[in-house]
Amino acid sequence: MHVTDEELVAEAAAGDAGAFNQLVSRWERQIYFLAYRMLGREEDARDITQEAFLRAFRGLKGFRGQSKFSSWLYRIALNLCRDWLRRELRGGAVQPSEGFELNEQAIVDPINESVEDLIVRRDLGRAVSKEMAALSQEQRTVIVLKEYHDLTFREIADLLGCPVSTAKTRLYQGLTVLRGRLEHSGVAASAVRDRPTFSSSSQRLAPER
Amino acid sequence: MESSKRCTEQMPEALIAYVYGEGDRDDRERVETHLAACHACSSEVEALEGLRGTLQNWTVPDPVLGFRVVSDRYEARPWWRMALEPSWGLAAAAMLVLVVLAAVASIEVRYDARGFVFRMGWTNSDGAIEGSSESAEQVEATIAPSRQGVQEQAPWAIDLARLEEELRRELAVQTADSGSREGLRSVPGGAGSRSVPLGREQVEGLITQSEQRQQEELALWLTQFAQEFDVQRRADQQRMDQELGALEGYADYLVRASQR
Repeated sequence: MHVTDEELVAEAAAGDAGAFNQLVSRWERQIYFLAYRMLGREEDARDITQEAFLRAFRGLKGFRGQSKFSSWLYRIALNLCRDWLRRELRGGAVQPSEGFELNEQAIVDPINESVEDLIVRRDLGRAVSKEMAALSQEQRTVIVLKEYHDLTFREIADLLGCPVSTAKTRLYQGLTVLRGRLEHSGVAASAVRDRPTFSSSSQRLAPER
Repeated sequence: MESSKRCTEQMPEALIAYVYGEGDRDDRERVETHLAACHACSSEVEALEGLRGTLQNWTVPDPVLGFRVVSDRYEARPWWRMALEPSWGLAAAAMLVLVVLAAVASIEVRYDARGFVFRMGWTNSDGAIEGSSESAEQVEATIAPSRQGVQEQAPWAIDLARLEEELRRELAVQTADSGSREGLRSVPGGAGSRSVPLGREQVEGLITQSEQRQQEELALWLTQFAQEFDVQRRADQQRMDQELGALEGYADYLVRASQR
């Protein structure tokens, strides 16, 4: 029988550390992916993830279920990322993510594809990472939340404290800027347009259950 | 072209919702009807979908996480508890000892034309005498001001003055017996009780005696202080160990339990 997040939150708030650990297991990867794409560095993403769960654990008694537990957790993580960026970069651009090697790329998305395809995919990933890092924090945030975490526009708007229409407009503007940058940086328009959508979006919102 | 651009600019919210599959069936049908008639918006949707495909190439290395809560209670430590931790406590105690020793010993390290001087004691460097090259006049001139303010001086100065007075009396007797002798001279500007002059060797002897006494007293004091400090340190250490042991039962923290 599946136990919901809210039930686990209630048990954890009553002092059951095991229940909270189940919540950690469900959401730690998502929070890590969020932090990684916002900050671009593995070690910092790991620290943010740990701190987010630590704060959630400390604040469990104050969590009244006004929103979903995942939304609350995302908000904590986003605030930590925002503080980190403000502290470390003082408004400057975030670094492109560290990326990873070809064999790791093959492991992440184990599609049976040729080495040439792997190389193309890795290069495209690096280009996306670089251009995402050059976006404004607001645009990067909404693209990450929508594209890689599959949050609804309503959820994004609640997280960012803005109207739904603003979330949509911000996403559209961010994607438009990103597309222009990718084309300008040498990623051919045809490659951008014709690249097939990978269906195995294992890094989307659905938590481990 | 211009009208197509305006069309796209007026539709971003609808298009972006369509591309991401949000909106109800009516909304989708409305957008699809528009796309069938509007080449600009149709191209825009196609481009956005292609871009979404490109974005999927940005994958993240699979992390090894495994964060776990390992206790069921958490109490934030107050700042004064942190101050009691061994590292901070020992560092503070060490600094205190150094400051006290430096203040008590009046450590003076000097390297000048007269050589290297390392001095511990209450001797004021202005009144200190080092080296043998100084003339008797310099020595006497240096001593003279300290006699004038002897009542305000430290206890060692009183002892020194008393010893000096005794030596003066002995010298006066010797002077009366043997008349004038070589090597005795008047203290410059001396008057009243200073009518009996002091020789250079006598002055140096006085100073040597005084310094030896100071060093002996200082050594005794330091030994006592070190013993008392050691006893206090052991008692504090034992108390801190007891308190920290009790705190461990209440501490909560998140750890990386294991590498998955």
